[in-house]
Amino acid sequence: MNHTRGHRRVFAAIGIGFAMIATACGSDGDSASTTVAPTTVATTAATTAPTTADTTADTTADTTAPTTAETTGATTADSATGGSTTDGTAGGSDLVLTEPVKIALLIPQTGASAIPEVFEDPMEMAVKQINADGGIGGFDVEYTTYDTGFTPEQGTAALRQALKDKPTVLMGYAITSQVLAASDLLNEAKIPLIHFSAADETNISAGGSPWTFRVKLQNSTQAAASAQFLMDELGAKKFGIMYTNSAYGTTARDAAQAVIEAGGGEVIADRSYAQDATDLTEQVLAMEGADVVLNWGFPNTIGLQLNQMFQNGIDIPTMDSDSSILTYENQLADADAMTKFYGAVVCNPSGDSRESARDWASTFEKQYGYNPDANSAFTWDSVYLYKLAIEAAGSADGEAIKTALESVSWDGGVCQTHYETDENHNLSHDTSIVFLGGGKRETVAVTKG
Amino acid sequence: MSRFVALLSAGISTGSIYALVALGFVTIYKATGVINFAQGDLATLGSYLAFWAVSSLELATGVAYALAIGLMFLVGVGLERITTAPLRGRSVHVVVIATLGAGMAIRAGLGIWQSSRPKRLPSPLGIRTVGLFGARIPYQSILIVAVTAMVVVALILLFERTQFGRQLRALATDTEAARLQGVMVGRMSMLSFGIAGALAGLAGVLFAPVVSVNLNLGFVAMLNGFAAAILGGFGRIGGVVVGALMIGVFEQMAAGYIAPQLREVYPFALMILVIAVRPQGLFGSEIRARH
Amino acid sequence: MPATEIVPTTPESARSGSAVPPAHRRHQLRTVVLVVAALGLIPLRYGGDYDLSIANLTISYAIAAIGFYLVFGLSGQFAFSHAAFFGIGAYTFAWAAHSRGFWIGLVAAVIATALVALAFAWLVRRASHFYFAIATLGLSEIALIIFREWTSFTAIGGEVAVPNDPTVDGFRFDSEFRMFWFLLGALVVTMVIVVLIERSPLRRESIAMRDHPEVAASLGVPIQRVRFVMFTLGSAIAGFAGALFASDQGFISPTSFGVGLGINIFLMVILGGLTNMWGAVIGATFVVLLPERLRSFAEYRELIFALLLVATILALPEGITGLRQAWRRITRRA
Repeated sequence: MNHTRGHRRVFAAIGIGFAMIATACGSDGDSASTTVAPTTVATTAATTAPTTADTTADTTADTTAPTTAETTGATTADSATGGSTTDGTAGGSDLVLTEPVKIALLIPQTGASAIPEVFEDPMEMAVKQINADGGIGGFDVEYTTYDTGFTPEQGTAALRQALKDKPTVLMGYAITSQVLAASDLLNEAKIPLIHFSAADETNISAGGSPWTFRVKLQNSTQAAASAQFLMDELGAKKFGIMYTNSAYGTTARDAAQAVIEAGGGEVIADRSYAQDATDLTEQVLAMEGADVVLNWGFPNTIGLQLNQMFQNGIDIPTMDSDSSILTYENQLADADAMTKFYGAVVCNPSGDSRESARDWASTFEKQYGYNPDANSAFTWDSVYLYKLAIEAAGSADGEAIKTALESVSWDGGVCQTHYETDENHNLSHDTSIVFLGGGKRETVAVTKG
Repeated sequence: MSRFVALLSAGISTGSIYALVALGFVTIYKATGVINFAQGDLATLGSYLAFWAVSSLELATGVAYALAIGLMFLVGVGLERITTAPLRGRSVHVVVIATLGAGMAIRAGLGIWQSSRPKRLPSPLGIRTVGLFGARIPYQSILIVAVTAMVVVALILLFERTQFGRQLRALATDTEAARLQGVMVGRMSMLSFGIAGALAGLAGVLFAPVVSVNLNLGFVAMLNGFAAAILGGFGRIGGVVVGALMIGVFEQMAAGYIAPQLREVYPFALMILVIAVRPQGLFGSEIRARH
Repeated sequence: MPATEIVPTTPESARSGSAVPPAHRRHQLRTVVLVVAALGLIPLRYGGDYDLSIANLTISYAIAAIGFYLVFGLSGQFAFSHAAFFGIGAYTFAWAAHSRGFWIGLVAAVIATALVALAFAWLVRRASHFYFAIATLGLSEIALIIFREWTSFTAIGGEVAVPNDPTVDGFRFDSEFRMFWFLLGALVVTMVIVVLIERSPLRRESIAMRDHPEVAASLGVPIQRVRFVMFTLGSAIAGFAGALFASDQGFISPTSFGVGLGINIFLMVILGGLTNMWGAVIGATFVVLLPERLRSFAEYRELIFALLLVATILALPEGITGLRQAWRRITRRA
């Protein structure tokens, strides 16, 4: 065999390979972007074929003159279902933009623990509603979903792909490491991101990008609020803490411990476990002797914790993180194991004290077939927060939207009762304590943060 | 004492699951010389099929389990037809990668079919427990151990007393000689994948009520199953079962009495140490490299 | 009960081309330079940040895959530990570069990875084939937990920002475009090292050890030493790639170095073809680029990727570079 010739062929093959990359990379707009018109039947961005989607987007951008949107003048932030009121940031109702507002939704669509619909459904619903009410700045709002997977590099690739499509604003990123990895990119792009991650590490004071805003509760706030509730309302003194072995779990443990010790209580045991743990016998047995258990984990491990606590006869109240709603809704724990089960969540729309939130939840459930959790509610609210900010800013310029978001003060959401941006760009502050069990998902307290 | 018993029983029960997964590898390995990297995903698929039979077909749990295990036998055969049969005579590595790819496809397909939301597969025994030395042992653990014990006995009989078993042994000893003796290599390969599929399905339906039906269900069990198979020497059924139980119990005990946060390290650390000291596994015979 | 036998099966595709005398491999260096120079021209035409970042990711992985070519392709060691070494390189780099800058970080990453690899290879020196494979899988799981738990070395949860760009004589490679050139340079360095290895007796000895260990041993090839050297060299290249990856990405988390990456590196080498190091580069391109190209399929992306993967393996069991043999067979027949 002639090896020199062989290598030439390989050379050619590589050349072709990289030429393919080059052409592939060079071609623009391969992601599906959908304009959801008010009358359109539910189509998600995901399933639309690329070519059709591109045409739709282009046509809208090129042919729809601002004046054709007849309802522009009358647009307010009021939505039919949400009963929202613009408060403090209103005043952009006669805003006229030169092109449609494009929202990039960055969420995990693939991967073993991806549940994309809890973000995609409310996104679609909110955009439809806004467009039915006249859109923003004379155009229908458009959105595109980008798959972030679960690793920082996949998240960054998704963001770069999104930025290539020149979005007006960014939304999503449920994974802390992805928000952190995106810092430099966001600072360069100068486009605001409302993100769905909890960890304190993304705080601006901790070096996070000033272009990020958190609509979810800050992890330490939520953990502290739940510890406070357990002490004040259930009279707990001795705490057992369980947490997943990540920054998310560790931060929550530290915050809860500080509150417990300040209130004269003590942590008698703290135990971490892997995110995909399949047995918690050791951890659960360590909780024996505590008045309550605080567990910061994910749906499967919360289910495991509840079942194993019940099986080992540890009959004490337990307070779990955001995922507790998923554990409850999917009945991952036996009904007998969920008799003293509390969840600390950003909000619980179907059990909210406000009628507007409950109405929204039932409309949502009718449309999509499941009772929405906090994820869906704050996704909806984020779309409206952007609408408010853009109208207040009077333009679709990233800098102006960021400034407007920094002074948001809004009471019209379906998740939090009041949104207000603090120095770390946290929008949400109140923790809802939900009792889960006996067929109910009842909000028992709302702790002001 | 009660803590020790509780940890021990949890170890034996997770060890039994590892054993079921590991026995699947070993069966396929004996017949084909390939390690099936989709074994974990087959267990996941088994749990989803059972969930589907319970929730959509509304079958009783026992019937649903049986249906799932039966279907998994067919899935195993199908997997062999797709990934192994066309690559017969190719390098083992290529076949291994093909099974890996098939596993990825199974996981991704399940996510689309049933969504990635975790689900609960009911156990016929619920979550009740029985007291033993002050510890509470879940009935499900007892079920897992009892079923595994029965399966192990059945497999030993199958391997030692039947035509299938004799042919399998012949294949494992010398593929060429076995072929010349009239062993149908293709049929044996299919059957072994079928059995491994059913074993994985069984592991899936037994494990799912404990940990919920989710797309990662089989993966962790597979990694530990590997460790178990290696510890046991990859050949003898008894060795593999003992290896699996050792992994399960050691994991619990080290987590309980050394450092709980390093729990996931223990099975692999134990395995690497065993390989360092006894490269053929604890119960494997001397490895004879052959070409 | 029959004796269990672990049969080291040789990737037969790797057998082809193994007998080429060194004199005929002279042009490899020229090929490397030409190909890489051609690649360097790409950003002049397509310079989007997204495209460049994907290209950069591809190069980081390609370097790691070339290291894996030494471990698996040349010396036939069935290892899943490459992702762990990639991670060890990344974390060591983050730790050392934090106080001492890019270059010290890079050197530390390579040395640390080489030491861990050597120690591990020694520990499991008597394990053969699948035993070795599963031991490396175990190492990879252990490394992940260490990245997470050893917080004084990494950070809480193993999530570390890595702000260290490469600097040469005061010039910072701080944009995607500049990083592309830097990584390309690193790719050339790696390939040159591999070409030099392939010209040395090490190649012949590795192949002899891989295909006929007893014969090789009886002819005086120091089998154990060759195995250690190839494993350590290949893994050190993974550490080198990991350091570059960390610098390029600017942020690392244990999720980036899981078994998934170990499997992907395997796919790269198998899909590309085991015959030579170019297979690793082509394979890396395939494994990084294909999922990106499938973005518009959203939820279906993973499934389509997996199916394409299986289809590719079934159609081209010898990898994409195996196409040329297939092509030659067809043309010869015609």
